[in-house]
Amino acid sequence: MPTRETAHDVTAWRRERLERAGFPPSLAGRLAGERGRDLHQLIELAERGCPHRLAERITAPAGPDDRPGAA
Amino acid sequence: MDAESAAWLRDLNAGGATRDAAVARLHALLLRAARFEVGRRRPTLPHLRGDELADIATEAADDALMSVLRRLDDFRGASLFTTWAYKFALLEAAVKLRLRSWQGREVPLEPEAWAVLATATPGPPDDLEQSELLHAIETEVRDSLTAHQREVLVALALNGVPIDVLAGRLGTTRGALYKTLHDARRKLRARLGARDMLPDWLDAERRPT
Repeated sequence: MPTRETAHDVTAWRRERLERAGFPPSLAGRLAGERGRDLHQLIELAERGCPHRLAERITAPAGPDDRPGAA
Repeated sequence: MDAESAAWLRDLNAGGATRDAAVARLHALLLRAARFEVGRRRPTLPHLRGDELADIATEAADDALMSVLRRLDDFRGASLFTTWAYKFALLEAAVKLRLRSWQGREVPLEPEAWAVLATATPGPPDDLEQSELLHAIETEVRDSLTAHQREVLVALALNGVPIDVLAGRLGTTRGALYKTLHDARRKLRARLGARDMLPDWLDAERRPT
């Protein structure tokens, strides 16, 4: 299992990636800490001009209500 | 298909106690395979303790078991079932050890390897040509690729970061990174081709490990 120190380092690394892609620091910090969040997809969307908040919604991990046919 | 392999499939596709016993036997087999692979690679990982290595072997066996059970229908009997299943555990153990060996290490995304490449040219007659080529590649990597394409290409192709390590840190899949790598190479091929400077190694479709 990752140590706490390592997890912190990885989160900082992810945050830096997002900030370099233009994400505001507060949003970058939050998204970086969500380990199920696909940064690759987020950054590619941003590089294509997708607004950051919309990219956040597009890449949100699917929940039980997102299944096809769910009410 | 040989009788032993057919028996494995029959038991694993059965229900109740028969299946449970087969799954337990399979897990034991996969654990032996994972321990073997971990032991084989242990000299390259001196910083890992024995209990960490044992945990890695167990995790590898668990994940390999899930993979094998998911893919039972893919087994065609070209080899013994146990040989086929064994490879899942070897792969899982190898991937987990590679990830662990990179844990806490910096993942270099900057093209610090340019200088190394430039000094690794084969000899004086090729120096000028190589230098021009490297300069052209460096220019196109900087100017033609997006920042993210550049980071992925540099990390995987120049700095030797394993693709599963980069995928893990970014929270994405190997396939997504392969796609980006492919797009970056295609763009570089087109730009260098237009300058009549396309090197053979960039023309080849190769995947990093």
